[in-house]
Amino acid sequence: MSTFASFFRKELTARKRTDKITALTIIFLFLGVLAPATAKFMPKLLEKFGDSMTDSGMTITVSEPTALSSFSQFFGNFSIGLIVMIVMESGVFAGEYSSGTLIPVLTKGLKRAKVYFAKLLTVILLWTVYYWISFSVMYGYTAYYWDTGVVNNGFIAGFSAYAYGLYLLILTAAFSAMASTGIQTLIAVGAVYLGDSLLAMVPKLSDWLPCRLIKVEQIINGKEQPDVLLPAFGVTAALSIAAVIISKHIFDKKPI
Amino acid sequence: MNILEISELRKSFGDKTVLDGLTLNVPEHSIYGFIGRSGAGKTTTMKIVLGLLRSDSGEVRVAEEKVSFGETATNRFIGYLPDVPEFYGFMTAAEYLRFCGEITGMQGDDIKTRSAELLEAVGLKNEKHRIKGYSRGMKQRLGIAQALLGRPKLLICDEPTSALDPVGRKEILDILQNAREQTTVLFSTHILSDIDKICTDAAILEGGKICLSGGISDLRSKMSSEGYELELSRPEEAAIIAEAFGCETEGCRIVFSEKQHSIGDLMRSLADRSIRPVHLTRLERTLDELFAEVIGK
Repeated sequence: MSTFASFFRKELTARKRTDKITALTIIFLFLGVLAPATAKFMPKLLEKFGDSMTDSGMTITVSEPTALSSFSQFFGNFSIGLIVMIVMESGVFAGEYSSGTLIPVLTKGLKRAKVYFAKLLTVILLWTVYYWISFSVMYGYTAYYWDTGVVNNGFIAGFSAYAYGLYLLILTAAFSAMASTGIQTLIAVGAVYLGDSLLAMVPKLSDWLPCRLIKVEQIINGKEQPDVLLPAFGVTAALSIAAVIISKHIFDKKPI
Repeated sequence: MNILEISELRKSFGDKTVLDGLTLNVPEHSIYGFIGRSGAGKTTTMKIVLGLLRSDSGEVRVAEEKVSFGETATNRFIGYLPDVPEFYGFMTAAEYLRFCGEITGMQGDDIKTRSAELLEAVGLKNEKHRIKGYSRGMKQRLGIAQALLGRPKLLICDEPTSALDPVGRKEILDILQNAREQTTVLFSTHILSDIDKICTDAAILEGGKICLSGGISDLRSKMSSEGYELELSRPEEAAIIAEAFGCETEGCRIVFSEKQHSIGDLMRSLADRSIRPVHLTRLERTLDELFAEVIGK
């Protein structure tokens, strides 16, 4: 087994034995089911709620749910899974700094580049697998209950949200490599997210920011074409690559 | 051959100078004790030797190859046991050794046989639990096993016995002594009795430099006998002897310097007066006192 493969396998085994894999499986499956379930049962709940409000003169009319409702719910909820994963992975590097477990590994001569990319690859792999499991579960149930033909560019929208999550997780890994603790990592990721959201209030900038990638409501209902996302894709990809290059450089020089 | 050669090593952290021209040579197959107070710079020195820390100036050679910061090529000669060894808690000892073997590119069969040998040598052969439940002593023992896995030429241990009870300490010292056949051992400590027990050579680090170093027998010869301590059964007897020799008493005890009074005269005096001593001991400067004296300079 190559030295890289050995360290990569260690990363996966660690997550399995610390029950992270179990937790992620439960959460992401749940999110996949939640979207169609919410879409299906929300109208009934609102109707019941509406009945009890008629005395005060309020009426609630709810239109029949479609596949669009399910997709829409998914894009609203998937960030829960993303946040869980960001918190879990905030210590991907920083955890080993504080525990000192990297010292024997590096002193035995395992190249820092291999350590860096094995950890980065693990984070990317986890997000890729779990996001698409969640999306597939959502899609499966949605297709079962409704006609998915009404959804425009569903997979592109799905990919867009995936890309946004991937970017935030790459940032998490990058900050973790540069920071000393998981908390510092989370603060840094939070600050970037906040900056992104604030800048998005400026109309001229909004299409160029990473957070544009999760505003896909108008794409799935056909009011916007997917190519409006291209500037945001470009910027997000560039930011991700920059984060990797800078953090790897810092990791290579870090006293452990 | 010297397995480790350090010359004129300097390192400062901000305005604090830790190493100020440290020069040290460790001969092959020695057990070399590296003594110093807490904060003297022992761990700093070791980290520089391992390429984990960059020195400000000076040169380090391991097996005659130069050590550079960030490059771990010279680490193929070194096995390292950190002062608070931490290993992946989710693995068992055997799994951890296999992992270490794999990341150093050892062959599968070699890993198996070597792991079994070492786990037996450190007394962890039958331990099937995960590392997260290990005591400090067990982690130290696993630490030595992983450090020796690749048959290193130099085993560096940072305070391997510091936080252990006497039994644990003895176990570790025995393992290190046995390791001498296969490798050279350099270990840092501030527990001088450990040096006394197993070291062949030692060096004292103080003020950023080595202020005393050499073979243990050389160092011991510096601890020449200073005098004698005589203990008698009654203070009156002590007073009599003290008056005869012009010394002071401490209760029933008198300390003589061999320079002032010959031991023969003392024993004759006791016999003449029919005084039976409780004990008559030759005082040797202990390593502790030597250390304190060197540090005090």
